Amino acid sequence: MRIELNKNQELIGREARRFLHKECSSEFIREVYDSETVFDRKLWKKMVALDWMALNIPEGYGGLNADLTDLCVLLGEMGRALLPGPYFSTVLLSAPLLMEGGTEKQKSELLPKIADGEMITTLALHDAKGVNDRNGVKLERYSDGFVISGAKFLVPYAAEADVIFVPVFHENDQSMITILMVKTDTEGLEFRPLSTIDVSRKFYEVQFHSVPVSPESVIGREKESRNILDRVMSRAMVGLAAENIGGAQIAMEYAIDYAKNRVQFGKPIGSFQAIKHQCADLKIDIDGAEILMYYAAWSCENNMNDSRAAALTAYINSIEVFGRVTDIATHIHGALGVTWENDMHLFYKRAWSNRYFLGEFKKKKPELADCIIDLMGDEQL
Amino acid sequence: MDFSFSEKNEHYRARLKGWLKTTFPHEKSYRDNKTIEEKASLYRMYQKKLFEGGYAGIRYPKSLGGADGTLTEEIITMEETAPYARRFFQNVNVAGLSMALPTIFMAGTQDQKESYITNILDGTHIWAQAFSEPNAGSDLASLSLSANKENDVYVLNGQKIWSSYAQAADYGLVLVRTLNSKPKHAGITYLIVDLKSKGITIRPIKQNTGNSELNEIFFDDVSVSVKNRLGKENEGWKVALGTLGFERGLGDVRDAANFRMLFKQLLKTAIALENRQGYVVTDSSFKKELADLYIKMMVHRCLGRKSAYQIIKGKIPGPESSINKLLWAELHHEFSETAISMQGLAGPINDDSVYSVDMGFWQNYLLMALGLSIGGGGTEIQKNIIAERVLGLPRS
Ligand SMILES: Cc1cc2nc3c(=O)[nH]c(=O)nc-3n(C[C@H](O)[C@H](O)[C@H](O)COP(=O)(O)OP(=O)(O)OC[C@H]3O[C@@H](n4cnc5c(N)ncnc54)[C@H](O)[C@@H]3O)c2cc1C
Repeated sequence: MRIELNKNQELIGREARRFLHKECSSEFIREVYDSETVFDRKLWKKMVALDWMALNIPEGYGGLNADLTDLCVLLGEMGRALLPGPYFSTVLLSAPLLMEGGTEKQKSELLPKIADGEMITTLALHDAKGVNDRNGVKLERYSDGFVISGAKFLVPYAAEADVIFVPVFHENDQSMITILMVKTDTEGLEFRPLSTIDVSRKFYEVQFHSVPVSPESVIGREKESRNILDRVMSRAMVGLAAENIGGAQIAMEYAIDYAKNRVQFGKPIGSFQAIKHQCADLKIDIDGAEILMYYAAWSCENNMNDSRAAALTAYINSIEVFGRVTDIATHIHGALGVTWENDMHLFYKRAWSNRYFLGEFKKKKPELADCIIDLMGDEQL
Repeated sequence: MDFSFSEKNEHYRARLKGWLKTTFPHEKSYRDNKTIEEKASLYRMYQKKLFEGGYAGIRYPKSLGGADGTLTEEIITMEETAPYARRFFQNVNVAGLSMALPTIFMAGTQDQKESYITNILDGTHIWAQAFSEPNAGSDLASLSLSANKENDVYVLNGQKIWSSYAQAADYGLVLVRTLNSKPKHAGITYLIVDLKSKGITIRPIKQNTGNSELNEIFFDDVSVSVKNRLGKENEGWKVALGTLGFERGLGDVRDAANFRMLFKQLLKTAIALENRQGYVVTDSSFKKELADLYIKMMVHRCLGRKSAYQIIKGKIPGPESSINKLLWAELHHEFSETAISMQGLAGPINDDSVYSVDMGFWQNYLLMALGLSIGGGGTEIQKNIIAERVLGLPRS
């Protein structure tokens, strides 16, 4: 048992905080908002120099073989800084698909490039079905490959990526998935930028107008694809939880600081119990979310039998906590909290954008419940 | 990070598990309609067997009746014995096992240790905590039960209230006022009182469940030897606080094991009700409640593991332990609410008739849970502690 970070993890966190404080301040985020620069390649290069893209890639492919907890420490700092850009979609959502299901050839060709920061990738997870008149993606099979048509929605940094990973869910059997890699310069791809509440993370609709894909671009066998995707998504949920908690933490710190210093009726507002207890609620929420996240990281890393439940638990909780904390923290700031000038809205927007990042949030609790019933339903009392 | 126990410790767990199964073989029933006396005698029998098996007082020295084990073994024992502790009403003596025991061990004289510790561990004596008074609840330091020193005895006069299981107890942990001091807590002394002493009257209080586990205790010229004092005169407050954080940290582990058991029971009942009602586990609003409950239970469980880890490392949990006290109380509320709302129109049925679910266990639990966000420091008090002592916000 060891329920604390090790020296190396503390170091990762400290250095990341120092770096992001300088390179990704809230002024920088505001510039992103004002200019709508989607992606700052200079910043990306500096992150490459810190080996951040290589962190969780296996040693044999130019990576550092770090574990999920190490990565979560870094993601927490990125969440604090609201780092814009395709880090999460490359490192958490798509590179692991190769690690879990890629052939030797696919891995040795792509992973070193991702580790070097040369290649940016993303995952087009959500079918656009139900959004306006869109249809989800469909696959036609030919002797020499596939053709994809239809649309995917809320795809992070699709236009900035070099390769998009596209899971195609089979129409009659959702447990069957074909995961394809599509180069973004392939003919027939169209990217439509989406205007979302959180400008610091960019999303697109991706339309596939009969896009051809070669058989070599399939990841994993179709029967294994569900498991591959589930494993990757479990780890991504834990990573997103870490990001959420980082954002929630800094919002709490601002709110508490404000409560200690803002004086009304001759006293700091933090001495009023109604405010004080809301601050306590923030702390309760965040400490809980943090330990769930580290537990889930450990469970996934060690393939415990509750790893999926643990990941869903940490993810769902962190989404709710991030939303609640940024709401209360905004409130504690009074009218200042609702100004453009104040940072609270930046975090609040990220909280709401993250709610949709890995799928429709509403469906996650029933999914967790099913997972728990499977896990514990016939355990002995 | 690593949330698991070492192989050696898991070995210990396996051995203990086997021992518990063979020593206490019967399945439990749910309805709890036993009298306090019946509960007390079941507890004594259970505790005696633990003692004889070498599973009582794991971390205490053999010379005092303990097992000379490690803190980790103590934690594992708490986890594994949790279902049995419940079945045999070990909470009748929670004051003995998790207050008197560590307090006497840390602050008691050699004489006191020898007189009391083994008798707690082998199930002979039951203890009660008598801190609260009618006018000293959350503001415990304002207590006023008077203790006048006459030679080498204190003479006690006044009243205590809300003392759990005092009617079954042999000894009481009693905070008394020995000085009208400022600040108020600097005039408090900690005494061990034989509850069978002359001048003591114990009156049970009927609660919302219909049971009477709480008591008033009246003290009318009760003599207590100065030898029964824990720590120095007027320094009882420090003694009282000394053991609380430690115990709460360890107790979280046992509570987490209990919640897990309750969760499995709830799930089992839900699956059984699916056949009877045609919906429950397939109902999306139930699924949402179940997920929420599981999430909160996991927060409590993981935070409990973390404080156990800190204790093993030698760090006594600080004011953050209030977080788990709060979650613990809320979880009790949410467990009973979830379990009752899945019962369809049988929700209000509280007996063991053909209509009822789990023999009315959850309905009783619903009412019992209300007190848990008051006892041991209420919600508001815990939040004050978190805000002021953890976050550093100014005092009100
Ligand atoms: C099930 C149960 C078992 C118990 N067992 C024992 C026992 O074995 N031994 C023992 O000595 N005592 C025991 N108690 C008593 C318990 O410690 C007290 O009930 C508790 O300290 C609260 O005191 P009170 O009931 O007088 O409420 P009060 O202190 O009068 O509080 C009433 C309400 O006001 C709130 N409040 C009080 N002060 C503040 C404040 N500063 N800020 C904001 N809100 C405040 C409280 O949170 C509460 O909601 C038990 C109580 C219960 C319910």
